[in-house]
Amino acid sequence: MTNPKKMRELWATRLGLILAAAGNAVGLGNLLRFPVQAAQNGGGAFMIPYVVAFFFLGLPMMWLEWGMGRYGGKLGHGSVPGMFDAMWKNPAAKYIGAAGLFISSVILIYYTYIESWTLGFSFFSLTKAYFGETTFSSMGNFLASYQGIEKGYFSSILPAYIFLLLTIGLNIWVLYRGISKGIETLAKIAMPLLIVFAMILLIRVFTIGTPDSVNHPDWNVKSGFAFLWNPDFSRLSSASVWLAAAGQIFFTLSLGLGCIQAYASYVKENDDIALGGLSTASINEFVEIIFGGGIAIPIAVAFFGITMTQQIAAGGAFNLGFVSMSIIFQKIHLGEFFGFLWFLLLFFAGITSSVALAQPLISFLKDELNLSHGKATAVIGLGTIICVQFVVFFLAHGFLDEMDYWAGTFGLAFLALFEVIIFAWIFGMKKGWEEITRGAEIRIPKIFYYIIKYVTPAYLLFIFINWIVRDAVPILLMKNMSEADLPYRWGARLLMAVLLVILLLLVRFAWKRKSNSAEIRG
Amino acid sequence: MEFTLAGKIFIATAWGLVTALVVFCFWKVFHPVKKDNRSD
Repeated sequence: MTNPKKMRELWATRLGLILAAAGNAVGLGNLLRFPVQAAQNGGGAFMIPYVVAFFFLGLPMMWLEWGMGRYGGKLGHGSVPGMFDAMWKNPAAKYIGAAGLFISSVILIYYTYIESWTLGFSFFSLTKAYFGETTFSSMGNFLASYQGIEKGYFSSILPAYIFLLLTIGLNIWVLYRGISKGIETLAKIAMPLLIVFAMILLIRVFTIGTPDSVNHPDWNVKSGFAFLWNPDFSRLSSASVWLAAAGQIFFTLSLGLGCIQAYASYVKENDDIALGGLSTASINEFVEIIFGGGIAIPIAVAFFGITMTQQIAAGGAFNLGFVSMSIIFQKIHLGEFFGFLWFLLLFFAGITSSVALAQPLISFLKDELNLSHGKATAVIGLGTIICVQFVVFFLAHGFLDEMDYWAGTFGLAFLALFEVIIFAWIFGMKKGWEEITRGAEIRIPKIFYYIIKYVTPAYLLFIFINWIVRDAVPILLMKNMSEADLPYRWGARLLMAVLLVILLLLVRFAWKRKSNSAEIRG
Repeated sequence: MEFTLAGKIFIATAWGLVTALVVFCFWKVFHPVKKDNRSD
């Protein structure tokens, strides 16, 4: 076992920890995925299954992951393999826990690339590079040419590559500075700025009114809020709406990644985690519901009308965030400034999440393999730079989508299911509850004891089985996919398989090494 | 599209709830029950 007495870093301030944890949760999904999901699943009525999922799935899992993380940290483990091994005395536990390294690492690879687009587009807003691309097809082409998918405004992928390297460089720099000087400092700067930028944009949305009152008097912000928030109760009878709400809660709170545990492992043994978990979830929901539900969709309705906005939403989060918003910024006074704020706030949301995605592997390399902090950061940086090449050059062929499904959807539910079973049933809910509530600054209602033990596992099992039946089987068999893309999708699977094998071997090596040194000592 | 009363109730409730939650959490963070030797 790792020497628990070994000095581990600690968060410098309670506020810094909460902002960092909230930064981990607040990501691109809050501002782009949530409004699309709400618009497609009953508007205001979507909030009913959403709130149910928050109380029965999101909040319990948040506390569970904080509890698991602080427990692991006490024993010198900052990543899920060590935590599972400490909670479940079974040789398989640490290997199942390797999912907590695999999922965050795979997502980190493609997430940094998407994050770099936001940095690029904030620069293009200031320089008005996309001004003049006023139709959906020309703006779509601008984005596609930036990504190297089509020929257009950009003749090569070089600009995208430069912003990618800049983004990876910034991430490595923050990670290299460590928990308190790096991640905590970033969160203390980026999170307040994100809120301020979002507030400015929200005020701008409220003051848009009816942009074209002569030709389209019914295209206005009020209609936008009506479109997003008027409840369609008939949708509540659809199971897919309840699944979409549960999925959104899951993604938005960054559960099932191993990142919350990694952050919580740097909390002192008797420090509060109950308020920390609630604060993380609350800040995330504040950003998601107020800014996610108040900016992109209402302003799209004001400029394009409801029918077009429905098509934009159906086109997905990137269509809404990059294409439709960029067209809107060209139509408003000081659009370059508002565009800069929008994409920079997305970048802040992205970078506070990507540094969290890197943390489980950094903690693993330091805690279990005794690598220095510098070497662990270098491994992450080098690994990301190598693996992201495939995402950059094979983007058009579904390489990113394949990774996103297996790590970002299937993987999350897989890991979360094991987390709740190991924590509540193997480690034991009595010990688990004591872990969550020790040092608590708030009193968690006892009902959550039973929710974590019975309701959350059942909820997760339902989601997991549903996703397997509905999505995993067709995706596994690559149904409805273009023939030309199949080799690239297999390539993505091969890359993920290689990563998984490497991580499993590292876990095996780490534990063998520890048992050998224990034998020598003993 | 008309912004219905139900829609207004939903948005007011959702925005009010998340704002109240954040205010409550920050109040608790800055007014801890336990003495903490770290600064906020």
